[in-house]
Amino acid sequence: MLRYRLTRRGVLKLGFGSAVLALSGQAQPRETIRVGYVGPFSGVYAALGRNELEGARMAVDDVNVQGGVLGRRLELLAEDSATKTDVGVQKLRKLVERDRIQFSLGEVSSGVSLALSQTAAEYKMVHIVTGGHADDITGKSCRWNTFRIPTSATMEANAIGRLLAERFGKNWYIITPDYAYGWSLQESFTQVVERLGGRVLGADRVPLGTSDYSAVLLKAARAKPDVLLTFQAGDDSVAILKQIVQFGLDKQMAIAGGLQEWENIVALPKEARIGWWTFEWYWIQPNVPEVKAFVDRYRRRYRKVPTARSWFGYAAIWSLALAIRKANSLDAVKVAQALEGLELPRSVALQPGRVYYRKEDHQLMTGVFVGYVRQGQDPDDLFEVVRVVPGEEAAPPPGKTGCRIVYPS
Amino acid sequence: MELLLLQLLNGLVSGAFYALLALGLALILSLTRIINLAHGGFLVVGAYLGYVLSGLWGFYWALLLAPLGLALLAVALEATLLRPLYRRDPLESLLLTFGLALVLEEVIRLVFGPVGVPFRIPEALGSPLFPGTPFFFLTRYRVLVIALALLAGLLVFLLLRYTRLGLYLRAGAQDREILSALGTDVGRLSTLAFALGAYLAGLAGVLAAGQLGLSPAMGTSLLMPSFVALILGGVGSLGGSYLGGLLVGMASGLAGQFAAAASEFAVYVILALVLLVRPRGLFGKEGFFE
Repeated sequence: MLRYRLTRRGVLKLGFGSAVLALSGQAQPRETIRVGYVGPFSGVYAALGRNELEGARMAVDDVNVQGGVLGRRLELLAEDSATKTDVGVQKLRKLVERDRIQFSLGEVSSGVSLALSQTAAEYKMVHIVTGGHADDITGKSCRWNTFRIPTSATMEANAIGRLLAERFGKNWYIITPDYAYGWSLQESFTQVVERLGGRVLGADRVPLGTSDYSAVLLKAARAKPDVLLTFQAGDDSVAILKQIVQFGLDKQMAIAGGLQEWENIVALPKEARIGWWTFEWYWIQPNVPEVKAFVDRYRRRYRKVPTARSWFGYAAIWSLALAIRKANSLDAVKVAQALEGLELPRSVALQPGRVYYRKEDHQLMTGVFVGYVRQGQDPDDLFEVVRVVPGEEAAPPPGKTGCRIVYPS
Repeated sequence: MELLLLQLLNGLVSGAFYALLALGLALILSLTRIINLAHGGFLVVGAYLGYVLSGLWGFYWALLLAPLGLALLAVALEATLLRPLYRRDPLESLLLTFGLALVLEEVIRLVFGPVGVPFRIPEALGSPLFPGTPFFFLTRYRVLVIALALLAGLLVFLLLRYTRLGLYLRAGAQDREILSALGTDVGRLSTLAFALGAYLAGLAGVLAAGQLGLSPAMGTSLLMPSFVALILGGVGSLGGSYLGGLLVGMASGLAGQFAAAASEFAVYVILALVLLVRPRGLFGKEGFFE
């Protein structure tokens, strides 16, 4: 004979079961609005992808606490792209076809970002790029459905270029990784310095995975530039920065580069934490009170500081919510048109100045945080922001991006 | 012109690593007739051993003890895995060391992760000896690298030239069978050559970690030029392989002045040129390993 024994676990199960029943029985007033995020949760960019997702999650909760949009709650579904184009596209298709998402966000890598933008356009779905930096995303390959939050490579070069030229001088030397992204950075920085009346004394393209930079550093030191630019990433950047410090070159010339991430700097050994870079957002902004409130909430929730990546995710969800409210519709074309020119309120922009989506190329006119790496009092404070260059000043004029937005008829 | 001389001198520093590796390879090859493809794996294990030890007791102890630890490991590997293969087809030992190389590197990857780890050198070493001059690239650390490589080379030379043990080692390198017939334990000499070769690889590993950074793939990238150095110097000549290492380093340093990508390429160009003139390498002996 089987007898039911009353155990503590049994009681808990019973209670849990009835709670679920009670909740699901309470019919939702209306269906949720589903948003899909595709980004890297594994591979080299995993840390960046996770931070984007965490920022987005926080924004979803914020929106829902305020009653959602159009009386409906937001729901966020996330998929891992592993930084692979084919995987990312496949995951986006799955999100649309099986999970019925109506808006999509995503991707750290530029290559995957471009592919996602195209796939979303096939489904006539508004897509917000939360991480890719290639110029093309809001340039030659721009699309009616795609909006980008991060800065483009050219915006970074423009923003830091003027400051470097004014502060240190107009003779630059470039050491860049020998592949497409490195070449395009070399090109945009060369254009910037030449426009400012300076010149590039020399440029070396070094194969990826090089560990000994002494030969090129010897050449660079010989050229006596005012600024030495390096675009190496990952282990390569650790190697070159370490050797620059050992050779004492950082005392003879300014060391600088383009985009830098908080996540990368924190992984560097202490002695290699040097240089002038651009960040896309920073968590310490004494003049913007809204930032402190956001950082405090983020720290309480995730036990770490928000990075530019967290902000990308946060701003992406809020942009969608605000645009849907403005359009008073979920129709993709109407939401896209509402996003054009949409200005983010200070509590979402979380930075000084006017931050809005430019109508002509769908690029967010977000500020570029130019500064240098140093250790602050807080162990998480690694960067001194010298100037926030307004997006309008950094971005190329709308006529020069090569972008033409065409809506489906 | 002056810059070329500086590049030459700079190349000498990377040449020091190749020289240490090539000398170890040559020692093992002469005594055991084994082409040790696991030498790069040895270097990586030595470097990570140094990383662990330097975390415990500091850099200098690591520099002293890690190569010794690696030598012990090499002796164990030689006794258990390689000794049974001495009298068999050379292809079998080649396959074994190739497999061993993969295993060693993969073990390191499993334990320490695929991404490099920061290896700290004493702060006093990480600064230029002549700051602000054209010789700024000679940091104290790099001078230490060259000095230790020269010292190690010199000690090996003295050992071979002036000690009874060295006499046996040289004899073994020349003709194992006769030496064995004369009543010398050649097996023990082989073990010793392995230990010595591994010691040099471990030394190169710890030194390279401080200069180039520590990652599981570092062995592979240093090993290829070292094999080139071995052939360049002449198979069978210990001094030749050591010199070959320095030459390869200088050639790649010089080429780096013109294009960064050319420094890898230059290694093979100089090999081809030398082999055209001297098919057995600079100091190669006729009939050895042919």
